[in-house]
Amino acid sequence: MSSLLEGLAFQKRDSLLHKLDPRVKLFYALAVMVMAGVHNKMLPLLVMLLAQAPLAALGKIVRLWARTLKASLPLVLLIIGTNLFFTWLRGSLTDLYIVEDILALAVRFLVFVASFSIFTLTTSPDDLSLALEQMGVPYSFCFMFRAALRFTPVMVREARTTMDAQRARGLELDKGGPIARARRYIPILIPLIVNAITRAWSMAEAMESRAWGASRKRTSLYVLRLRGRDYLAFSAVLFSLIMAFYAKFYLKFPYIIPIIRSALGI
Amino acid sequence: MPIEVQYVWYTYPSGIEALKGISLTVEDRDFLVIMGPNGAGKTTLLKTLNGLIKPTKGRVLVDGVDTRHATVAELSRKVGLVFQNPDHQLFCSTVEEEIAFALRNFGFNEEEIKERVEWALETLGLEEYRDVSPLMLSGGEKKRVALASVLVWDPKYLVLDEPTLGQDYAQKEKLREIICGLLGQRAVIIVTHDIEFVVDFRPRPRVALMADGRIIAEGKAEEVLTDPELLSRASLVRPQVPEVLFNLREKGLPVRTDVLDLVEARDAIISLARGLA
Ligand SMILES: Nc1ncnc2c1ncn2[C@@H]1O[C@H](COP(=O)(O)OP(=O)(O)OP(=O)(O)O)[C@@H](O)[C@H]1O
Ligand SMILES: [Mg+2]
Repeated sequence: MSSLLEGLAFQKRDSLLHKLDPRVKLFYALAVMVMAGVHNKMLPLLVMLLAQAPLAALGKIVRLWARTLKASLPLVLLIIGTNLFFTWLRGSLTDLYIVEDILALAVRFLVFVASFSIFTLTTSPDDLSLALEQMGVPYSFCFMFRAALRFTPVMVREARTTMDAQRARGLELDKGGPIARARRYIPILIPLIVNAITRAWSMAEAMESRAWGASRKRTSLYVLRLRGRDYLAFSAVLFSLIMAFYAKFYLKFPYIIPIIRSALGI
Repeated sequence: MPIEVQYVWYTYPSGIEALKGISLTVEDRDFLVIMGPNGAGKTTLLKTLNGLIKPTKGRVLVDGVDTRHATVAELSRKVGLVFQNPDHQLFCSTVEEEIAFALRNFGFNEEEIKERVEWALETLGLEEYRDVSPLMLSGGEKKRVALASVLVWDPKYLVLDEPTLGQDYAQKEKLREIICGLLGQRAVIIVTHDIEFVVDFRPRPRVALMADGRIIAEGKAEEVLTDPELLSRASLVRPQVPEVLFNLREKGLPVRTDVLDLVEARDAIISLARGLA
């Protein structure tokens, strides 16, 4: 779980993707979500997944991106498992094509993770909040969002330290039944929550002493401006989106099972 | 039987090599201080002692038991580790409950819990706070509660990570008294940056200097803490007393410099004066 979170954290690199306007990247992530959302067959979803690998390479984040995908595997298996189970329960698990459709659902989820992770890995929380701000989202909301993202790794680290400290006092986290186990997390949750609140208070005080919210009109040190490459990237995403809709309504995708079969000669 | 750290390497999952071949022995009733710059790997080393961290290479034996083959709870019964920041662990509604927490985990019976908590409260001078929420205490008091919550099961090896951090002078003196009272019955291991805190201890501890995941020196306090080269490698400043004597020697006076506290300094200067007269 924590490696899934880490895989979504911003990585500073010098790449074309990093330099793109955050609004374009946000548009990309949302567009891919829509594209994957409207399709439900294996072939197009697989294409969408694979087509993102070159993008990850372009952003110099292939290893982290792959790690994020790997970290989401337990969830993928869960999706496949529950779907298989309920389809079987309804008695409609009759042939391999249905299995392919269920696998396609899992691939769709991977497409979501893939695009979202490309977006978050290459966009700093600051850039993102700047983008939201300049799209008219209220500043306090953007700030909240940014602070939440920035403090996630801090909280993860703190949770680890607290766990260590309590284990050093004899707490055994994985002993006993589920209820006993849940109760054992109390000694970890309380310090974590208390510290988060304390930190929020002292942060609020520190911010107010630096005149947070004193003027209605905030100025920004950086102003986002779309450049040639941003328009180019935006057009490419828009084009893919239109193509995806076109494909959905006018093309019929074959199942890949027969293709694999004939390729293998079985 | 001792704790034996044998050629231990440790790499964090993030790829940082925090320990690079550490070897160290802590005897029964030993008194050891570990010093070194930020990021030297001191906290990481302490965590290997009760099995929170298992070495990537090498091994740690606690009374002959390899830490890889025992649970943290089993090891903690012998090796009591007090963490640097009490805010990371205090969670009960009263100080008394907080101190009893570990005893319940270890399965002590109620009668013994009562007795031991009483002893810990008394040893650390916390009786007046027994019904107070530990979260409401000052930083120094919280640190004492954290110490009490480990001391209470009387571990054979008591391990303290930066016990003086954020404490005022009076608190430090009190802490020194408490630690001195504990010496002789159990081993005490302290990690600290506070060199003046170390030099005023009687008996003097053994000192190990760490830098960059290695132990760069180990020996008597008066030898290690007066060596200018070692100290600079460990980002430490020479204590004030030897500093004065070093200055005298630089001025050409034949004075001893392997001296750490005022009484010894006085004697060194007297014998210097006698020699000059
Ligand atoms: N949980 C962790 N994950 C990854 N790296 C870590 C973790 N904890 C410590 N490190 C790294 O390991 C190295 C040694 O850290 P450690 O905390 O042991 O140093 P230290 O000597 O205790 O320092 P300090 O004096 O600041 O407490 C540092 O480079 C640190 O960044
Ligand atoms: Mg430390």
